Amino acid sequence: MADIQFIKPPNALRKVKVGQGEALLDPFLIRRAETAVAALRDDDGNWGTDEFDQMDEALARLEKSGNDLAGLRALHRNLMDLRAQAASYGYALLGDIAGKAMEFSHLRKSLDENDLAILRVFLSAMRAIHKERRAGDGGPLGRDLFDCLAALADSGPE
Amino acid sequence: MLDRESRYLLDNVSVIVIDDNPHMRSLILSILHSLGVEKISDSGDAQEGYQRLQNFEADVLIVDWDMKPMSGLDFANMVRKDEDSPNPYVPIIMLSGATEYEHVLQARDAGVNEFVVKPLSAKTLFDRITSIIDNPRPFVKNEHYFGPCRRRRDLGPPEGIQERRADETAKEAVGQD
Repeated sequence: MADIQFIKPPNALRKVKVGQGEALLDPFLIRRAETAVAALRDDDGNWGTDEFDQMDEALARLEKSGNDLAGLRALHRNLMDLRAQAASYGYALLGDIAGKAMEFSHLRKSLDENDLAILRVFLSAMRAIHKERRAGDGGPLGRDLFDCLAALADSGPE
Repeated sequence: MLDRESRYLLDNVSVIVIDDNPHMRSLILSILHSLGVEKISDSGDAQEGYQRLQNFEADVLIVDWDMKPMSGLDFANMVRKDEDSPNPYVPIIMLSGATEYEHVLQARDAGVNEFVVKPLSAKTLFDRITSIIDNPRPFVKNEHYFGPCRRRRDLGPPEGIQERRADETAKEAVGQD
């Protein structure tokens, strides 16, 4: 049997807590952080734009090569970044669309002309939401948009 | 209601943030500042972040998984296992946009303390930092693994230890180690 050592590491974070009992979340700090994130979202109008451009490039590359594995990976990575950024900034609809596009591309080992056209539609929708600064879930119109895109993605053969 | 007798002084925490996406990095920094963390160093490159560890006494590392050229997973392995690692015991919080369970297991096996699936919120980050403060775990070292005890959370039993789970002492042990 292999040797196992259990080590008690130095606890540098002991200094961080005052008192012994359970320390609950200070709502003031969370509110302050959420306000800061909202301000950052409003000030940083460029978030997502790099990923849109990179997705555009990845799609163009795939339109030329078809089965380019590196292109597929790049596309998947862009969509993952977009989903994370959008949802973290409170753009739930954009995040959901990026997630659906990610799922769509992930299920395919290669993307044909039709698949790429569908992803172009997703990209256009995400760009429009970003441009119009439609944070949140987009309301009933946003849900309709998502449902239409999801139906489009689910309509093709896998 | 907040227990004023017990609280966190996050201004005493020093953090290194490593994420190659500048917008996500700004978001993390903004949350940390708002939570009261004052000592923060950040980098967009894992290799550079590792060098930063030499001169910045970090209490916590917050690292993105999906980075190039060095991934967050490779970074975590380097921090834990490199002979020259400046601080192999430093707690690591791994962020990831991927939701696959396999990713969680890989991060755990690299010695990551906490795994956060994006989107990131202030509350999530606060919870993960305070979890590290409140639940310091012993480190385990064997031929294949060096890092915090992997049995603290119920991430699913490692293979071959199912029959030991009823044994309370097994909860403190590391099944695979």
